[in-house]
Amino acid sequence: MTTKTYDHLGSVLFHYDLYPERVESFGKVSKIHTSRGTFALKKTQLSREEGDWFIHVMRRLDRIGFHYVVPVIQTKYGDFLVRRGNDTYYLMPWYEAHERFQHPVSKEDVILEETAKLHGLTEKNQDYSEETIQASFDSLKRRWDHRKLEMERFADQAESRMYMSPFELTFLTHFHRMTQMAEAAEEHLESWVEMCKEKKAFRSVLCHGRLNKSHVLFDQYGSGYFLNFERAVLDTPARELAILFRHYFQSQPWDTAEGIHWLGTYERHFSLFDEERHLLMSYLAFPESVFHSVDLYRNEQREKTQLQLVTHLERRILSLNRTNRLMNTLFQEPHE
Amino acid sequence: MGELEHLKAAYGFTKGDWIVPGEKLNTERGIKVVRRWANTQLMNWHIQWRESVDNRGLCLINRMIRTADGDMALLDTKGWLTLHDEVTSLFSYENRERDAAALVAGAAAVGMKMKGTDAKRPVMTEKCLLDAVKKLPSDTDPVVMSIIKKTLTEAVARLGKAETLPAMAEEDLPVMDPFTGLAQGREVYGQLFWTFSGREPEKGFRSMAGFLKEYSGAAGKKGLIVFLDEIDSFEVLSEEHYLEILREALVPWEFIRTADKIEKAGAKNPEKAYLLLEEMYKEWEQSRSFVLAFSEWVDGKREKVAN
Repeated sequence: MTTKTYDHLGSVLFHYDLYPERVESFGKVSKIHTSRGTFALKKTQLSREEGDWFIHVMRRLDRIGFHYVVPVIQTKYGDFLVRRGNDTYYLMPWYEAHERFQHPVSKEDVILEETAKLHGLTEKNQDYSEETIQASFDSLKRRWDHRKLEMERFADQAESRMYMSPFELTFLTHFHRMTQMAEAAEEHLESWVEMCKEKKAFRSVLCHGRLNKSHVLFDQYGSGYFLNFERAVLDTPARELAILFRHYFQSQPWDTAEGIHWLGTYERHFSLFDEERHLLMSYLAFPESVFHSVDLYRNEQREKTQLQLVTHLERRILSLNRTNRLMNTLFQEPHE
Repeated sequence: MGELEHLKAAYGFTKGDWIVPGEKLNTERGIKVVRRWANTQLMNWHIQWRESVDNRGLCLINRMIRTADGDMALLDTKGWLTLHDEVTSLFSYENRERDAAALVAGAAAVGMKMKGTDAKRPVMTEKCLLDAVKKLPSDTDPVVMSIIKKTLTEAVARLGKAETLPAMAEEDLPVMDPFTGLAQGREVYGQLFWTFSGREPEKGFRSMAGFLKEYSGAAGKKGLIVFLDEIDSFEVLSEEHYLEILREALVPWEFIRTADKIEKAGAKNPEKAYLLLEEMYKEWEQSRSFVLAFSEWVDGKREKVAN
């Protein structure tokens, strides 16, 4: 956090008739202290179209009565956004984030419950189009094939070296498991497309798009308020859940029971269809996070040491193994 | 409920005192100016105009502040009113020509798309010039009358030159809030804040030509060229438009204006008439310098294209 002069923000705050007494800077967010209260001013690079969509989303959330959102304050001219050159700003009331609550609450559960409520309120059956479904499948499959090929090349290069680096050695040790997971992901993806074609239906929900704990502020009662809907999209709930689960998987130790509990918490408010479960599993099973470690390793300007990269890779492999167990539990054949 | 209390309640001010009763008030959100509108259609045009110009993200402008209910105008016992910010610091144009140029070009671009107005291009004829002189009282100071008559010859010649230039079709002309002068440019937190006039919308480039003349007078030929180059860089105005501006700059509007003012001042006020003539000469000279510099710039542009 830094405190600096706020002349550059003056013309933006003029739109709100706010005269700052003190400004603290937290990355892209400025905490504005004024005689009329404390506010959060967010600086973004939203284009005009993205900005229009963002406003549409915020208005829609208000209209449907989804109140677990940090609201965006309108300017004195009735705008939600203020543009300055290439930057776009918006203002919110400053919500103090609480870490301790009056009753024991799990942040992860709250986020899942509120996400499920958001999805439930915005659920919409899309006009079925086999071409659209097939195009989504083909596009993802192509991307995955490309990534697999890249990783196979990396494995080949590593194998041909006289002395492998610790990172390369770790990667090769687990390469077979990664391939298996990629295949499992593709199988689930195929199940999803087949089931959609059979049902001739698919649905979308409003997805936050970048859900993680840093985009939710909690009050003293443990209610979470979502912020940063800048990348919100209409998409399958599986996509949102996959993003959130990946975030959970990487931010804390977890096991199969916890994974099942998280999914159950979400589904208490919004049940996934079978095909959506397959899609969720395909997103989670594909070893993209492991491949991302390789990208970091191959980046010539990398800032991490070999040890940090190996640790990074190991954590992701560990998570992948847990995902495998979760997948097996969720999709195991019922016992006779 | 009194006017002030009504305003405070409607706009959600907790504090509010008149600085000028009925016109200007001091609130916890700064000084606000009340604009009353006798003509609702005109008010709606200006709301649309300012929102459209603002939508281009050029600079701050004196838009209508919303009421607590989100309305852009308020109806009270005296009729419709709108509320605006008061910004008094004048904008310094030097070395910040691009900001003002963006506004001028942007206003023209919006003006070319604005519809729903029956504004007509102001027309000047030789008869208008002659009538303006004929209207002067017969006992007007003879020296004043002599100056006016000599200037009339020049004015007719200027009009003749203007008429030799091609005129754009009425439907291709922009409809804009008239430019009233450099003082429309104000400054807040280092940003240009443009105060639109709120007058009857004008078709064509008459007021823009007047604005450029004033700019030329203040910044000199060199400053004017920088400004014109900046306006041109936005690629909103074409040679056709520039020739239209040149045509308007040649039309001796200042002659008619002065003759009208002398007529209104009456024959018994020759001092006032001399002051008005002085002012007209100044403006006449400004027009002359502007027309020379501007036509040279337009020719230069043409040469660049040809090469």
